[in-house]
Amino acid sequence: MPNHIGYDGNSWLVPNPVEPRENFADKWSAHPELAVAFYAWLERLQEDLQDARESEGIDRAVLRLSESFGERPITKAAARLGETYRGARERGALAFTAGSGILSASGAIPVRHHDFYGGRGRAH
Amino acid sequence: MEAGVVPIRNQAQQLLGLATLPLTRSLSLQRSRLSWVGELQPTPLSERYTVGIEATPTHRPRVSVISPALVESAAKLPHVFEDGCLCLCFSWQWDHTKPIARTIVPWASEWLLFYELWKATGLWLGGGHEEPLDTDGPNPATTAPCDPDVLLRAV
Repeated sequence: MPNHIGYDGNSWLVPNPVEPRENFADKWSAHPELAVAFYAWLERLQEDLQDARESEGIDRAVLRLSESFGERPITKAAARLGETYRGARERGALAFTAGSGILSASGAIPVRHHDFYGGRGRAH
Repeated sequence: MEAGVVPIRNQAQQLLGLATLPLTRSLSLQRSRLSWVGELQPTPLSERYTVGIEATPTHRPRVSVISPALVESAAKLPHVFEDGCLCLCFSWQWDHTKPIARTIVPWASEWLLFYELWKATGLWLGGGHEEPLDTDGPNPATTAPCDPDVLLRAV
C-alpha cells in the first residue's frame, strides 16, 4: 500500500483506484495530522495482516483484523466466508485435500453431501 | 456411491483407505476395532488439529478432537455429543460401505472450519439440524444419527 501513496512536491496523492481523478489525500496538505494518522494506521494494518497470516485459527485472524478494520465488517466477512463454504458443499463444489485436510474447490476428494446434526451435549 | 469409489466391505479396506491419506499420523486395527489419528487443517489460516476416529464394524465411527482442546464444554458446542464426539451427519448419510477416508474425515475437517467460524462469529454457519425433524412417516432424521443402538438395529 505504501507504493500507492505519492507526493509531487506540493501535495499528497492517493488516487482512488476506481476513480483515479479522486484523491483520497486531498486534505493532507492542509491537515498534515491526517497523514500522520493514516501512516500510523497503515503501519498497524501491516502488523495486523502479518499477525493474521501467522495466527493459528480463523477466529484469531478475525480478532487481529478487527483491530484494524473494526469488529463488525470483519465478523460479517467471516460469516460470509462460512456461507461460501456451506454453499460450495451444498452445490457439490467443495473438495478435501488429502495431504492437509484443507477444504477448497481444488482438492482431490469431493466433500459428499451431509448435514451436521444433534449435539449440544446430548447423549449418543 | 460416488463414481469410481468401490463400496467398503470390511475394516481392512477402511484401514487401507485411511492409510492412503498423507495426513494420517497413526493407524491400527485390532479385533476389528479401527483406530485412526490424523492432523487436519481446514484452511491455511486454521489451526492444525489432531483428530481421532474409532470405528468398529457395528458402530458408527466416533470422532473426537484430541488437540488443541475444544474451547467450550460439550453442552455449549454445536454438533458435539456429551462425551465430546463430533456429530457429523444424519444416520442415513453414512453406513459401513462408505469409506471413512472420503466421508467422515472430510466432514471432520469441515466441522473444524465451522467451529473456528463459530468462535469468531458466535454463529454455526455449517447448516444442519439441532433437533429431530418434525415430519410424517419414516424419516431417519427422527433418530439420533450417531446412536450406535440405532445403527445396530439398522444392520
